[in-house]
Amino acid sequence: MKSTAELSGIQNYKNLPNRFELPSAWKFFLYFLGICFFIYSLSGSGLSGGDLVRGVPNMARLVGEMTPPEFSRIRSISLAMLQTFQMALVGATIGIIISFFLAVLASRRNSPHPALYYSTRFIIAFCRSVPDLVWAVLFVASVGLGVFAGTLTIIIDTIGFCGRFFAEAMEEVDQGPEEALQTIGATRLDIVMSAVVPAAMPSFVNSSLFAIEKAVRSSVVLGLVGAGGIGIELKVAMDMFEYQTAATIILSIFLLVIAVEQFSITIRSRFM
Amino acid sequence: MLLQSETTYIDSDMISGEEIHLAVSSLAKSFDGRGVILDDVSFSIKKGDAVALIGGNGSGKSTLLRCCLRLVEPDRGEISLLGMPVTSLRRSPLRALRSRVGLIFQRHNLVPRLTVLSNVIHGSMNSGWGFRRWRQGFAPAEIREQAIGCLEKVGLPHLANSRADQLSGGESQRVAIARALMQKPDFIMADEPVASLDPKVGREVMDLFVNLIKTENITFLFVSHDLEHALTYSNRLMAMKDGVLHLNGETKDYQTADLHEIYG
Ligand SMILES: Nc1ncnc2c1ncn2[C@@H]1O[C@H](COP(=O)(O)OP(=O)(O)OP(=O)(O)O)[C@@H](O)[C@H]1O
Ligand SMILES: [Mg+2]
Repeated sequence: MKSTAELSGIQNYKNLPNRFELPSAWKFFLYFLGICFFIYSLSGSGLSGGDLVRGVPNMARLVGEMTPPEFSRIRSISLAMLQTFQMALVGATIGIIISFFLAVLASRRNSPHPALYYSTRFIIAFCRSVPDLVWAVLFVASVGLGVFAGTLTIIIDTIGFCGRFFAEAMEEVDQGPEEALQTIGATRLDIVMSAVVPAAMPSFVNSSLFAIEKAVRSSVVLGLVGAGGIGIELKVAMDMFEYQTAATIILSIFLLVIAVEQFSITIRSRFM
Repeated sequence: MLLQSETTYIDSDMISGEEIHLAVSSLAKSFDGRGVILDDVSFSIKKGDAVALIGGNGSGKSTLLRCCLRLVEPDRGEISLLGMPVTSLRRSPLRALRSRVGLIFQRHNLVPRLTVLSNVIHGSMNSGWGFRRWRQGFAPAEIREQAIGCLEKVGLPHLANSRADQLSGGESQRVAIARALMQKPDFIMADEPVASLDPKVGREVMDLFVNLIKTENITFLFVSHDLEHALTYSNRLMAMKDGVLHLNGETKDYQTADLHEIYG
């Protein structure tokens, strides 16, 4: 009997690579340190089985007190929900538009000057790395309590997110058409608008839809720090022990988020 | 000194009584780590010539074409294209010159997701008006009509509204030719324009080229690996080998057998 290897004419190579490489001593030491730190972090994270078990009855009681949801304040809740959604929509849209212009400057091939490239990259990274609640606190302190602070927060948050993904999308498009337009004598602006943007459009739409979903979710919590929207209603209801009203608010948040996600799925499938 | 050499150049034009569309002298180019790609290349092409450029893979044909439009910056040498000194042009006259030369690639390089008509209209990009050339919807009526006219010349007016990424290879290459015609070019350079097309469609596209350059009085320089095409569709033939111009003469003086040598 011949082996399958012999039948198919495959040679027996002596120097096949190992399936797995053993880590070097140095790497092994680093892995070990990493595992130690994780174990130490377990204690630091307050993970506690006992507390969880003791907390279960409380959670059950809370859920009990939340049912049935109380709909008497549905009018003001609906208004606050509408305001939350408007804040998210307007903030995200303005953010998306600003992101587009910043992203052109922040993509290497399209940027008119390296200094502009690095500074816009930095601005976008800075917007992204400071969390939205921190921005909200800062804006509440500067423009005052209310929806405007929330809208500003969402604009900045969207720039951090879309700026990066738009720039990456523009850097990834096929260079052939760009080069073709360059040989026609087109300017850089013409090339960006007529070759780069159309090719990156699916990616732009995708990121923008994610940005809107993200904006809706964050607009819900911004109220907790006084930046407008439904969050403040939820906080008041919880502080006043009006758990049935709180339940109504949580339900409506759930419905809004689901509705926006469904909308975004539909658009995406139409567009791709 | 400089002035004098320019005068002599114009004089030699007068003597031959024919306009020179492309004159390259002592052109050299090397890439870091790749050594010499073009080595002292000199030739000239007269108005209305159809010139085939052949040569093995990596012999520098594409680099030569790109140097002529300064898509690649040459190291040394002089290039005069349509009477303009390519090597010393500033950005905006260079763009103006490029717009008079249609360049066709092996890959059609159309913008996907845009319509065929928008892609053809891009050909008039350098005639001013910025955003009115970005999409067919923004373009003035006469530009849209011209673009349909160019599509008629390549036989595809019925595809004006199709998306560019849904065409066959042959159709795409025809649209790329229509885009080049939209430039109202005096010169067309084509780098292996039919290499990815089947033999029948490839011949059709080459026939189209040759008819167009006759009727529109365009000078034509094309790169091909197909010796039959090189001999059929040109009146002049040049061959590159390792960055050096080996053959340069009338196509009728060559047989297929002569040409095989340069690949050896
Ligand atoms: N931008 C570049 N940087 C470095 N090397 C390059 C660059 N462009 C071309 N080359 C090298 O120059 C040489 C000539 O390339 P070129 O594309 O001009 O050859 P060609 O004659 O067109 O070949 P083919 O028939 O395969 O298209 C190749 O070795 C290539 O690797
Ligand atoms: Mg080539």
